[in-house]
Amino acid sequence: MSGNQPVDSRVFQLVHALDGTSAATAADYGKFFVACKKCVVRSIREVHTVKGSDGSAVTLMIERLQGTETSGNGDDLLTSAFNLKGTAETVQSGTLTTTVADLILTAGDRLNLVDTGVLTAVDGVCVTVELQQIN
Amino acid sequence: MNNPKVPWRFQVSAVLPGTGPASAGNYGKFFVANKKCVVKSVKAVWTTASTSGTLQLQRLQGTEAKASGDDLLSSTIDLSGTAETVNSGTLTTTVAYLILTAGDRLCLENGGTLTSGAGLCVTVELEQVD
Repeated sequence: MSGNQPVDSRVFQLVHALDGTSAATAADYGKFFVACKKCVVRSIREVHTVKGSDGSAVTLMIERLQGTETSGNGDDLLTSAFNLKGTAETVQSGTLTTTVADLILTAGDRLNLVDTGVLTAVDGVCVTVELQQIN
Repeated sequence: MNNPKVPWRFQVSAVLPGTGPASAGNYGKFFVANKKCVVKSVKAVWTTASTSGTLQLQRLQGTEAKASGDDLLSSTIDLSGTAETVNSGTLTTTVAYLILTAGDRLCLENGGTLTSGAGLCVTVELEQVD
């Protein structure tokens, strides 16, 4: 690789945390980013402090909202949701959707957390999204 | 010599989840500049409108407290506007206010009656200039 290759100056990481027991409150999941400029999602990671204890599945999806779309009605950015019953303090790397167009946020598009299942005991959820501004 | 410095643009968000936007105490600082930056644009959206709430974005310098800084928007964003509809803030024409030096903060300042407000998300685009 050339030593003169410029560093990509438009890649940044966005962190959203649901501190403590906020992560067990469904109403606290929702929008956490409004694109000011066109961006593409490059990667998504999640970790939680305490896993969910409910007997059924407890999951977290990241979706893109466009126009006046509301939570749960956007485009899924992961092929499968994060497992909020997964081992605590263990980082999960999301697999991005193969529908590449959905990973592009134009100005005004939002990133949104969608939870499913019963969130009992879930604590300290932290999601980091790597984005690249493309204009 | 062959590696020109390109301005680094990035975006930061402040989120007041759930019913947080209905409480004035939840508005406040959300970014401390580590390097000199310029505010380039601001957008906001919410899940539920408030009765008559308003939102200003301020720059705090030195030991300035919330509401004592410089307004970065020429007019406040109306938090009683339509839910799930993105609002673009109009930046102040006092360009010097848009420059954050290391240690300056970005702060959300609320006004009006915040009752019923829910799910507020504000994103600011910044350019690091040194």
